[in-house]
Amino acid sequence: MAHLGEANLLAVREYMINASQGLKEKPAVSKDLLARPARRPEIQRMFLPNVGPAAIAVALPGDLNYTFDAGDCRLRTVWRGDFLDCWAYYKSNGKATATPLGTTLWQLPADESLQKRVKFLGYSVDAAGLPTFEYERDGAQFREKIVAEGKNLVRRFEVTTTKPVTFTLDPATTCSSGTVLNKLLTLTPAEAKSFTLTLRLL
Amino acid sequence: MITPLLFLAAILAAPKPADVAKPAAAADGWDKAFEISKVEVPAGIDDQVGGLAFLDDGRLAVAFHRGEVFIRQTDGTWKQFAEGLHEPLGLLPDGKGAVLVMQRPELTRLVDTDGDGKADRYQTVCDSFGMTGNYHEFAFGPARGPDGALYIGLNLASSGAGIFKEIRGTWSEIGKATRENLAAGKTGSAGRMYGRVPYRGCILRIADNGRGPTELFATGFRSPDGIGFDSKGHLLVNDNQGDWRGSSPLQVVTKGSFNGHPASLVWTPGWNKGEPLALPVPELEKLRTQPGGVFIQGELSNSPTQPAVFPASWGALAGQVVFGEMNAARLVRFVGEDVGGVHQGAMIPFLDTKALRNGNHRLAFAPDGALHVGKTHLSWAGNNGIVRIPAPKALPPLIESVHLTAKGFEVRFTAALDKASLTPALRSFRYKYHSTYGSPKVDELPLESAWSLSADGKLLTLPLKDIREGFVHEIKLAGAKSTDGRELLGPIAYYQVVKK
Repeated sequence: MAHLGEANLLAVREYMINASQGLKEKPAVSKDLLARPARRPEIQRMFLPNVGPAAIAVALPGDLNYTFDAGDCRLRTVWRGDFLDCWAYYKSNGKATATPLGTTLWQLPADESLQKRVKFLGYSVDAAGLPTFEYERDGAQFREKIVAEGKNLVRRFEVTTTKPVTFTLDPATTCSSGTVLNKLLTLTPAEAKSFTLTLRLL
Repeated sequence: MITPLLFLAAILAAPKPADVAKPAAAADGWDKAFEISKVEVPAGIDDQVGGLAFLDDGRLAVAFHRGEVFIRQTDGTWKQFAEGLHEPLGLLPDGKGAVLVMQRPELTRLVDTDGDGKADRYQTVCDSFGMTGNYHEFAFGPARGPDGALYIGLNLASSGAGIFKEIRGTWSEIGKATRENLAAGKTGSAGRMYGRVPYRGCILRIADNGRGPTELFATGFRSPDGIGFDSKGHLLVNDNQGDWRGSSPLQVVTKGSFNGHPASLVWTPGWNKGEPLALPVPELEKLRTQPGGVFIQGELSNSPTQPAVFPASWGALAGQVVFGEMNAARLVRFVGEDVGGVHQGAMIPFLDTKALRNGNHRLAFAPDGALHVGKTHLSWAGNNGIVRIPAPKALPPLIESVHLTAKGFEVRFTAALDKASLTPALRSFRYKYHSTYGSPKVDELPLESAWSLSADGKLLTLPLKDIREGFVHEIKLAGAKSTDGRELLGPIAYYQVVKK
């Protein structure tokens, strides 16, 4: 605008001040112009409610979504509906969590004591876009892939271990093999090589 | 030709009337000497740049705010390489088909194992640090050292917000604010910036290109956005003006060093002095490593960013370091030298032109020498997109270097200067080291020099009696021109004397 000269600029400025007298400033538009439906599957690491800060959200084909917490290496929440509204986070500097859209069907409470027993190694993504999480727990090597089957969430495990592997089962979860005693599932190293946990959802 | 409507829109978009009233900047000397053009970014994304680098095969890889990594193909189109990352703020190539990305929760190696151009492995390289969920716990890097190790920088949390109920890492009880209060958003007693989980405020080293063990390398940072190595292997890490940061410092980081912000001292092995924020300042002053350079607040940089090393195509600047700056439309050069075993030097404004715009966050030189600058704002002062600045055929008149001698300073120029245009104005000053946010310039001393210009017009000798250790020495050459009448661009240098 340099070629207009300062005098012209000042005149326009004066006009703008006069013309805008008595007018109220419109609130800033706060709408995610880049919002889109989730690609399913889709993976997004994000600050999320009811989990630790190193969370990984996944939208599965269909309408189920879950959060895997890389801090304690556990499936933590499952919800049905659209995926995430991350606008509160994206529009700022991270001073907000994203909102899972839909109905929460299942979640586990925090247990920070688990952090010392696990080591998160990352995930691989298959041709369809589904992640397989890799982590160590109590020295055993875990690979876990979570898929939707009808109304259920099926967690497929491959565990390399020399010792038995245990899970505390919640009432909604059943196992393809192993022995359950007082909600404690125990799998021998041979059983742990390949098994599934099925989470029945409403 | 500007239509009236567009013109009005432009006026409305101007942030402050005060800016409008100022004479608009004419095409300046920088504009004439350098071509700054926009690089087209992938469509449909938020083009705030967190990481930017050229791969070994010459393609440009960029990490964006919403967690995508794109690679620009040789035909100029962009192809998505990865997605779903959590605020990536650094990217480093890692051989064929792989890049390292620093995201909030971890350093990750993204690997395309099947050669289809998309990463299919997101391998955790380092997540052995805590996170409280506080927004300010950004993570920066990695920088690869001459030792083959990777270096990352971890921010402190800010009292601008509390923490999550559930955190990662072991909570440190050292500090006035309780975890419960912080989780409830009550940050009053936390200290302006706080680090209550490992190793916030620290630089970590991960041996063997990320495949070896992680170690705590250095403490004392607040917000180390810029981390990189110079051509001689010095690890350069800058920090942002704030508490304990009178003006943004450039730290030349060595193993075990404490770099000034006290909060992270608690992670020092064997720390037994309690709350570091309560230690007397003289004790902290004894512990800290002085900055080797200072980004002068308001004049050079308020939020310095990534360092990059000029390649050979930049002539006399080759091997020197250039930093980005978030708040102003400017970059900053650092010309360092070793004096008495200390690396220190001069900060000089570079590309100080409105044409550059602000938000200059990530810097990388293309194989053809063109400097690429990725921009961001994260809701602070800043911008978005990528600009490209080719190496000029010939450098304009610039301050090439500043050298401290036993007698004073020697200032070298890239062109012969006209002696009649020289009126060097010299002074020294420093900043307070204290918990208050920022510092005025204090202990100012005007300096007199019986200066002389070499016969070829390229070397200004400034004999000085009063060179003071721990002070910035300002050398101002306003109005200086070359013998052929061109303006000396960036006619000021700020040399931080740690050792004389």
